[in-house]
Amino acid sequence: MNLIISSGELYKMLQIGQNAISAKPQYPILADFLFDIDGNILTITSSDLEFTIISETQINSGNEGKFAFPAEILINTLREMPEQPIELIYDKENNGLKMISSYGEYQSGSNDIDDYPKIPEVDYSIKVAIPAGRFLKALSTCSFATATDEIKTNMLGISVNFQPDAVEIAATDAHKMVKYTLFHRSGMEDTSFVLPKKAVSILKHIINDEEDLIISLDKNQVLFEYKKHKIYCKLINQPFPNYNSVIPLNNDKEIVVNRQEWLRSLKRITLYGNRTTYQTSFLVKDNEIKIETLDPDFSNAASEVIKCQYTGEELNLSYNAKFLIDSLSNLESEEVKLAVSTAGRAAILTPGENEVGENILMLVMPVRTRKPIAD
Amino acid sequence: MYDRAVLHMDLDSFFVSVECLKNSELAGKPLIIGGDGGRGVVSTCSYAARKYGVHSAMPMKMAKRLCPDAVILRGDMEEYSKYSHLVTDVVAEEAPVFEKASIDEFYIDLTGMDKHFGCYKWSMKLTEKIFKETGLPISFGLSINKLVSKIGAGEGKPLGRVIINAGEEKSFLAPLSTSRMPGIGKETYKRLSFMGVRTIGVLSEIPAKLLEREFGKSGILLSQHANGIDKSPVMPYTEQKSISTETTLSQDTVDIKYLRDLLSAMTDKLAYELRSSGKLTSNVAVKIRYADFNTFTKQRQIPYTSGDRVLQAATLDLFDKLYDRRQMIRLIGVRFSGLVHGNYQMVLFEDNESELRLMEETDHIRDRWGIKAIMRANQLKPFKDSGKDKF
Repeated sequence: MNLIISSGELYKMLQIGQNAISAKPQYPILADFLFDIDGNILTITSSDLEFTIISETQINSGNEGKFAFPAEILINTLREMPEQPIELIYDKENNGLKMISSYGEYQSGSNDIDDYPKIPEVDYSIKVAIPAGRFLKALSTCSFATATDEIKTNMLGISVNFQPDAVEIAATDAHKMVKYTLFHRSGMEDTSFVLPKKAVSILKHIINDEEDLIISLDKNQVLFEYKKHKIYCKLINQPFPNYNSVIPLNNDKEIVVNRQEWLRSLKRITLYGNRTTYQTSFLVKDNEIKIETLDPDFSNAASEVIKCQYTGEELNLSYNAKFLIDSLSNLESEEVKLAVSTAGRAAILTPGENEVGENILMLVMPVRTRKPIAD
Repeated sequence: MYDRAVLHMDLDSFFVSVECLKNSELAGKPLIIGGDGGRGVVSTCSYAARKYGVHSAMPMKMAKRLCPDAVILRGDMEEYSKYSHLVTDVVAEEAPVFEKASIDEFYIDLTGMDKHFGCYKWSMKLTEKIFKETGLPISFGLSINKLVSKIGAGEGKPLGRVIINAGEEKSFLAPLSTSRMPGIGKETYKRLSFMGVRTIGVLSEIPAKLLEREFGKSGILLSQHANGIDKSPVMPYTEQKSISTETTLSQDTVDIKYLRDLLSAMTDKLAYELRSSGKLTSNVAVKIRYADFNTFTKQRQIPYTSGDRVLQAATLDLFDKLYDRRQMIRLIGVRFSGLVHGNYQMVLFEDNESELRLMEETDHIRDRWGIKAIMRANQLKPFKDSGKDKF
């Protein structure tokens, strides 16, 4: 059996598929791409059992059949090759693979394709379409806030909640939280799932416009279909914390700051603070924020004053600057609003103005500073 | 009789001793520890291997050629530092002031102890205790200062017990090669040899001015050292990056509830110390000693915190995991390490306002009235029983 395909096109497909090839595959066959030729259609499958990616393309071939090609050598060979037609040949009798380019021939043994795990046939009970680009933007904005600590298993992913008129996407690591509301009429009644963070980086590779992304949902698995790609993804089966209940409602003191100015200032300041806790204090009064940090271990200290809009009573706040930097970097507006009630409670960070069809809310937990010792 | 007395203790071929403890078959055999790669060097070797001419810092290839039968091990730094900590624990328990100079060396200031304890007798007792509790052989040198004691311990190895009486420093050093003196490296040794100075005795007779002209400022030090003069103090050893507390029970017990309450009180005390010094911990350890003196510790890495709730949960959980024999317990301890400056980072979903307020208010009361002024009710009994001063 053989097929002829453009090396560039194949490389592009494999680059997407590579996201589901594990560095330490559970079975040897999972280190391979599975090629399936059916007349003029070629599908390439890769899987690490958590994610399975299937991409489809048109080819000129009258053959039918399947074979597996080791992913690492194939993709690395193609990377070093200028665009040209290449031929892949599978010799079923000797179980041998051959690739022919204008430069020469490359041979490899093939794993037995019967070992390739079957994708479980699931009867997806829920199916919904959403503009791919907008959905991806929402996921990308939230993904920074997911937990990295493996113990917090339920916070390792991103919560997606479909409501009749909106999709609520949220992520948190218990120190910061993002809630992104995407206004989209899906007509679904309160349906939610927790998506592993890695799904976002895979979707980033394939989504490039606002064409519909079809989401099919089952209890344990979600299927994304976009153009000629299918991504099966295992869900995190843990209850996501009730994030709406921790959003404070009475944060009445509002500080408006230029986002870039604040972000740059924090990036400079943190160089002088403690690199594990990033604790930084913010003294807000009379349209100014005085930002200060110090690291007694290395005798480092820094302070800056930036402009803001705030005229209420003096506020003495303290946050992990890293959380603020991450949050500010994931916003796009020119100005941001920080709403607080008291120094010891969660602060709400929002864009100065939300873009049409979306609403972003970020929450940052403060650092509790000690009261001065009474005499 | 010593006016000033400094003891230098040096574990004999420390890494090798540890390896022999772990595997008794290795005892007495030529053993080399170091990198076995193409350019690996010997980091240490057993006395049996030294007989073949192997010594530390020698290329492994050469060592293999000299002693082809030697057992070669890569070494396990983690294990070594664990044993080093064990020795440090024993020394810390006994010594008034001590300095941990390296993983296997200690200086102990025994000034003023001669009259009451006898420096030599005390030192012998300590080495015996170290050997009994850790199984590691140790050499010591005793004199009026750090330098002479160190050279003494080095000369006596292995199992050396070298005493240099006050006033005899010069005569002790005089016949030794200059290369024996700490601070004289390969280069200085070469230059001295070139000048015809091969023993410390000769070096001591060269005027300090001359040595200063030749070696700069270090020349003066060289001259002092050659004359057995070293005024550097024993710098007390402090593991600054941790705080700890331990309690020996007035009576051995198996009462779990009582022990947990005591542990919770000790944790609260340390957590308060953390907060009042504006620090956070990332590593919690619990230690228990059974009635038969077998001691076990268990530690855990946690996200930086100084909050009572998280720390309590961690220490109690560690204790439950650690206490697995149905035996009487004699001592329990808690240690927080991996400290950094910082204040308590609040946590969503878990922290509640009233709990944090409670923590702040109790801290406030303790700031004002002392640490014993307020505590949880379950901690009252252990607090009363176990000698209030311990808290």
